[in-house]
Amino acid sequence: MATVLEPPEVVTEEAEAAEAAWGDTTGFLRRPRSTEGFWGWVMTVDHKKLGVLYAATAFVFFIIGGAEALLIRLQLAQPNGHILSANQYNQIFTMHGTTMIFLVIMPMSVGFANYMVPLQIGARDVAFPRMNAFSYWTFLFGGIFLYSSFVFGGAPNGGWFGYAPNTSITGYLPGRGTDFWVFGLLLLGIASTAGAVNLVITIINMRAPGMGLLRMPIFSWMTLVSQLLTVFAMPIITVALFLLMFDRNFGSNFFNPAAGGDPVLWQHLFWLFGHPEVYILILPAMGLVSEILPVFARKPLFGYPVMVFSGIAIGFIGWGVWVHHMFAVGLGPVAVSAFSVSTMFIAVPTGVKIFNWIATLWGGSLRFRTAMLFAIGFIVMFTIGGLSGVTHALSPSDRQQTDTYYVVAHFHYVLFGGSIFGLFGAMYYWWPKIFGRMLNETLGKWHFWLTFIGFNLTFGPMHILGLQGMPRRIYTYDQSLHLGFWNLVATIGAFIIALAVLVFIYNALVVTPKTALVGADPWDARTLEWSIPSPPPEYNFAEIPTVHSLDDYWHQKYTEDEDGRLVRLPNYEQVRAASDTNVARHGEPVHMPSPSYYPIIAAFGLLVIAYGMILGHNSGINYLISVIGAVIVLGGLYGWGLEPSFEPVELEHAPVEQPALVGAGVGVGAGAPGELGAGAAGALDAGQSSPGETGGLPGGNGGGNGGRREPPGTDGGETPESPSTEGDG
Amino acid sequence: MTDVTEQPSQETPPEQPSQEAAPEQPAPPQQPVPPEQHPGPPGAVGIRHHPSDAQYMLIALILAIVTGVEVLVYYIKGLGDAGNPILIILAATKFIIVVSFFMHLRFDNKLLRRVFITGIVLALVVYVIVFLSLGVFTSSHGVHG
Amino acid sequence: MATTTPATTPATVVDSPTSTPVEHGLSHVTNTGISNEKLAMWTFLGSECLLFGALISTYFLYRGRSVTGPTPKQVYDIAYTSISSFVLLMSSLTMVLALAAIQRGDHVRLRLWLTATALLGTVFIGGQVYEFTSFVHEGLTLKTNLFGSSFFVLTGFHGAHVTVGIMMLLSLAMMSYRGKIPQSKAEVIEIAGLYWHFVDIVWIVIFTVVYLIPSPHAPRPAVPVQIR
Repeated sequence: MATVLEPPEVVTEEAEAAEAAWGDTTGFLRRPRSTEGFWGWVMTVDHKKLGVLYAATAFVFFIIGGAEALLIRLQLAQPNGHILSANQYNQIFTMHGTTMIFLVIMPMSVGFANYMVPLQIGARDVAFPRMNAFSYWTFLFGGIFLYSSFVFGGAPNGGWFGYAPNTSITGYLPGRGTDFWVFGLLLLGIASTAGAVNLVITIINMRAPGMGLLRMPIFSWMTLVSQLLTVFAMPIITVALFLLMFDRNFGSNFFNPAAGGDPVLWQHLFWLFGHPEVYILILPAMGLVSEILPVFARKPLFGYPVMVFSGIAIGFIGWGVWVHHMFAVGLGPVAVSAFSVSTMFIAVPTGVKIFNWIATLWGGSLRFRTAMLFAIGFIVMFTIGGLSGVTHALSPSDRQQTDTYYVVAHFHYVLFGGSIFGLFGAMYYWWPKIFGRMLNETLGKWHFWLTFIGFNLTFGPMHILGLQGMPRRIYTYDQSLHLGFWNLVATIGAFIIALAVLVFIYNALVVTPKTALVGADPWDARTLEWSIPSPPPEYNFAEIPTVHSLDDYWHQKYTEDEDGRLVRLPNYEQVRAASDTNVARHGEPVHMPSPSYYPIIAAFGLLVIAYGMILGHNSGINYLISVIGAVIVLGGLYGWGLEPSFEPVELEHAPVEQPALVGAGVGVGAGAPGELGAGAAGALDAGQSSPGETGGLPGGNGGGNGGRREPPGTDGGETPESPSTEGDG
Repeated sequence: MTDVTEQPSQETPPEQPSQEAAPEQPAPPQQPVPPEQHPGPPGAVGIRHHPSDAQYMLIALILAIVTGVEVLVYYIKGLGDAGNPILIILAATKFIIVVSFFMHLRFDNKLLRRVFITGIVLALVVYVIVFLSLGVFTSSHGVHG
Repeated sequence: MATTTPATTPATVVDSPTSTPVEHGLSHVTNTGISNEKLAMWTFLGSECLLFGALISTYFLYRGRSVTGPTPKQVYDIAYTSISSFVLLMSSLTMVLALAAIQRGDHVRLRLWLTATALLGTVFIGGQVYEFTSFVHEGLTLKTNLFGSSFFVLTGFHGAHVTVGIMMLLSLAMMSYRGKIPQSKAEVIEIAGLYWHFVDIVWIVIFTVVYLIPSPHAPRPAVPVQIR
């Protein structure tokens, strides 16, 4: 909430009117005011807090998914393992894949995007802060729902890809695990779609003046592309999941061969989503690498426009390759050849990126900090994964590799060696901005090298195992296959990874909190997020900056001489000092959207619907629970739609403009919930965001919303203070 | 996305280019202009063409007629599958009319058109490919060798 | 007033047109001049194309592949469905008239046309319910065959979207009645209208692809999966 530093000078009629209007809004509880403490986190709509929540939750799921991986590796360490039964193994590997993809990489990337994109583009928040909160809570509840399956009769065990009719004919996979998978993924899909719309609109519409799209940091660009992919791909898996749900619970025939249903339809729908999904998983990490390398090489990203366009090309071509997951299904040589070719095409923009990264490093003044090590590690590991991917593109070789451990090696090289490495790099890079302290460098290097060694020990041998014929998704193998040696190596590698993660946790939770605070720009970096204090104030920028070029912040600090060497500008020290003091002045409240409890209520309602659907299958009366859940969602949405995004209290400090008046009591009618697909997300989103929500949102600019901000510099000698965000209610 | 229009010269130097950001507004001295006071057609800043009520009804009449033609085509015996392209064209016509005029896409910012068309074209392309691979357009033998 | 930092006052050159923030109706500044809400709704509708595309494609794929049970020709009543299609089409007209009304500041007509739209939508839904019940009586359910499954899921999804739309419209009418939709907030109606029109154009496609385009005369066998 904005600082309330001075007593109100004028309480205008408009202020009173708005106060009265606010009383009209439906709200059975007082609207939360505080941004502090536990409830401050629960009710937050601040993109920074939500970013931290996303990333922290994703990290917890990373630990859980990692534990599942260790169980897998223990089971497979030797022939005829006894650690897990076949059914348990199926649950563990299904949950491992589902977790890592939907509960780790996607939310972790979105967490960083949430935190950093508004800062990078010079905005005060995302376009729809309450929907942002709603996305997070729906994600959390979806993850909890999915994992609760372990105690409610067994986790999903049909693989993360859930092929029908194995999953659709209830006799094949007894139990409710697959239903937990279906509804869990539907919840996660709603969260992702809503979040994606939010980020897309934010990036397109809320950039600072002067920041044309080709002056925008590359991470924000890659976020834009991946979130657009999300927006268009999620509905497809939503439909697939609904069809599966109807087959399982209501006796429809979509994937029932006896009725003429075609299991290949599931594969098409799933992979139509699934392939863009893998680019959703990798593009943000590519953006992260593209941010890190220039800072630690002290050179601009080589070929920035080309990097942007190859990212777009990857996103675009990514829609044309999905059948390469189905080469062995029997679609015939025409389909297979066509998709072989298109898959090879996509290697081109990817390769372009790799060359540009190398060129970025070339001739740079390299600082091998941990962030840089992970970024370079990404380049090497992802290249290896990409090369095995090229062998998959060729359908004859793919015919041998498919369904073997060679594929497992491929996607772990690109997803772990790629995405996870990139995300860890981002942690080291941005930790000082988010928390004000640097992660310990020594421990960081231990983390990196243990990860690097462990990772390659785990997944390198899988190429060999695959070519030796070890199938995927088997819970054990016989002695006579002679697969034991490399499996044992892989298991050892997995435990080294686990050790590395422990080092990171120790670093983050124990060592780093005791280190010194750092300033706004500890890395001497390039982009706008480094021009504000660490951690940033709630409103991000005291003044929304005007941007004049790519890497505008860098160009305020440096220029180049005729030989192309970096030269510090005379203002260098001032610029960096100004970053630390880039806070709103005393008496200049910056208006930010108020916390709200409706997003979490709406998310909770979705959770209730999901449980009702599970229980309803046992006994029809239980579907009433889903109805109750729908009512909760509806209530949450109505409350959300009718409450102003800014509370009128701040009016006291805005003598002329009445931001809450614009939004107060005016909301778009709430759409009803009641459907679980992307449709609901849309109804929620578009139906709910009250004009006041975005209206006032990036406070203090443009017509009628946001607080007044007086220019800084009028009190030349005054010591600026960071406004404390104290709740006032 | 800044207060370019609200505080033009509280400090040096005034920034001329950014003041042109909202040319329709009267230059506000120290205060932003609440949206109610913006000049121009209410609720529609910028160049917007609004068909009149009568024109909307005419469009609706056209849509009704096209629907009628579609039904007629359906009922013409003996057309069989040859009627399909006609039906698709008629449906596409209605689709485009509603999107262009009722949804105002014809008159709106091109970005909106691009976003929507991306969705449609993407859907058409990928689903047609699915049909091709599952033998929808070949009649009896399905996927050929 | 838009300086980057107090220390430097670079000449401001705001050149790229897409980066120049533009004032617009819902009173905040955006790079494109389109409000966040409107852009969000169009983006959402773009994604809904993929959703309904998948459902329609599933139906289209399974045309003529049902192994048993009633076929479309046996249960469809095209005349009846034409009427309900016409009703939904007219609801788009009333919707756009509602928008035109609030853009003129005519609150009474806004509520009138919003209610009319909701009413027409309800008639459509009523028609759907009646149609579905009669199909069930003729032996076509979700479980019966591929036709039943794909038909009911597709039209059910559409009907659910229409229902959500009706609730939204009625809520807006109520809010207008309570004075919460001033003329300056006309865009809210516009955005609700976009959703409603989308639901209508989806039906335009469904009516043609599902009802009017006849199924193949003889049931086609399911595509054999050839192992090669």
